[in-house]
Amino acid sequence: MRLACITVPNFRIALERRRAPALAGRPVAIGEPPPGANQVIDCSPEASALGVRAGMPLRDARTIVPDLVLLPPDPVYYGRSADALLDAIEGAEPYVEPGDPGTAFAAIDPHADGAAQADAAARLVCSVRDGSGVEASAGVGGSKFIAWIAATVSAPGEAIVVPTGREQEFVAPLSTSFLPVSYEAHHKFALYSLQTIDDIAALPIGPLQAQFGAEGRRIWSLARGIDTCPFRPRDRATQVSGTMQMPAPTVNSGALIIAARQLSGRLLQQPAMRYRQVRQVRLRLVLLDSGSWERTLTLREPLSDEAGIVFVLKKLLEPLQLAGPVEEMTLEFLGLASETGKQRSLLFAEQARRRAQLLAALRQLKTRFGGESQVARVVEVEPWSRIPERRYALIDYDL
Amino acid sequence: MVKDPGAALRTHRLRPLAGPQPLRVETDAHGCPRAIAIEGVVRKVTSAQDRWRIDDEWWRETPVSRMYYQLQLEGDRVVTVYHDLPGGAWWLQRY
Repeated sequence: MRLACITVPNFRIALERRRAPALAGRPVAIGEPPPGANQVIDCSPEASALGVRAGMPLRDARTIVPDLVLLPPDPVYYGRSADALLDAIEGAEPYVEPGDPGTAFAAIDPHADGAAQADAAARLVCSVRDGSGVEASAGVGGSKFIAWIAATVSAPGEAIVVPTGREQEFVAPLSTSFLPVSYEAHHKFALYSLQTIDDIAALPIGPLQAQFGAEGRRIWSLARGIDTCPFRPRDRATQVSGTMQMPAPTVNSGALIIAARQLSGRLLQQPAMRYRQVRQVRLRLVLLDSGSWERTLTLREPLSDEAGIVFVLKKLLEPLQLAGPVEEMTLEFLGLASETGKQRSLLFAEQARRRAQLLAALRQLKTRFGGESQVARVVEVEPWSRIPERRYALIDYDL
Repeated sequence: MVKDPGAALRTHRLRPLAGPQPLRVETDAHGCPRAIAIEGVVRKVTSAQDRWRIDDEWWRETPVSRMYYQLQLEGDRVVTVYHDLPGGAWWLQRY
């Protein structure tokens, strides 16, 4: 198998610069201010050169580089851009596996010669440039590790092909910092003066396992250009999503929970959800004055009932502290699974039957009037607000 | 079978309830309402029962700054109106 790796160095910074070209050439960092993690998430090469590192507290980063441009993270923008990048690659090659943000692997023709593989990688770079507007670099190799390392060392807009059988030779002169292993392992490399991958390849497997434990075998394999990590193309499973605009920007968790309940109810009624259960939910919040928030939750068990999903979302939203008021909420159901049999209550069968009839009537009304629900109910949004029209809202009676 | 109306789908939303309605107001020299036009009929203000001011969301680009009046109109009807101070318009507030 031959794999191409497409990577955009400092993906989030590249996206911020695409949005604000004036940031080009300036030291830029992305960090989540309090009440968030209060640390640097990503930084530009200019900031790295001055000593800023991912994971560093924001206060330290500002102290080291006083003119550092510090941006709040916008995970919704990054997520959509990463999807656009994957779609662009998928337009050129059908089998694509997403890696870290801004990195993807694509299977290319294993029978093509070196020049044809380089052409295929160059086409992928062009697709990314045309499709998502960022400059990527590419590498081709027999495994994900080799393809990734080739893409990482190649210049932006270019591609390096590592011929079959020359993997170890290719990685040998590179720094051990390229090895995708734990922080502790990198720390030990420094302690033992293991500077290049060739220094590690010269060691037998026994001492490496003795020093690094279970990770020792992987280090030994990678240093010889051997990566057994399988290629798993992404599954384009059905996703069900819905968006709701808030009547006014709000930080009130009560209003957010109402919106989440309304969205869950709507999504569960979509045809794609018939006889399906949800394994993951993704909640995206667009904040006022740019910025966003995103979380993906994997449920303990697949759910198809609204109460269960709302319970999970409530637990997520209640303690939430955001950097700004929410303007828009998007809820996605991911990893849809087949519904399994569930024991229903015998006691409330009549109630459930009436409810189903009511829902069917509401659906018909809604379809008849162009998606606009004809029945609404009043909910408290911010009952304590000094602005009267913020206190209550109408939500579509879909439940 | 329900006929397809062909209407465009919209993003879902919460619809604010009791939103204010624009109002035509005649004021006196002090800027207090003297007469208001409700449902196309101009009604004189017989007395101002209460007056209060709300300032909120001052940190936003469009802060909320309203001068509220609870007015008794001829015919003993009582309404609440407010003067939007940044925009200058008058609104009828329903609760």
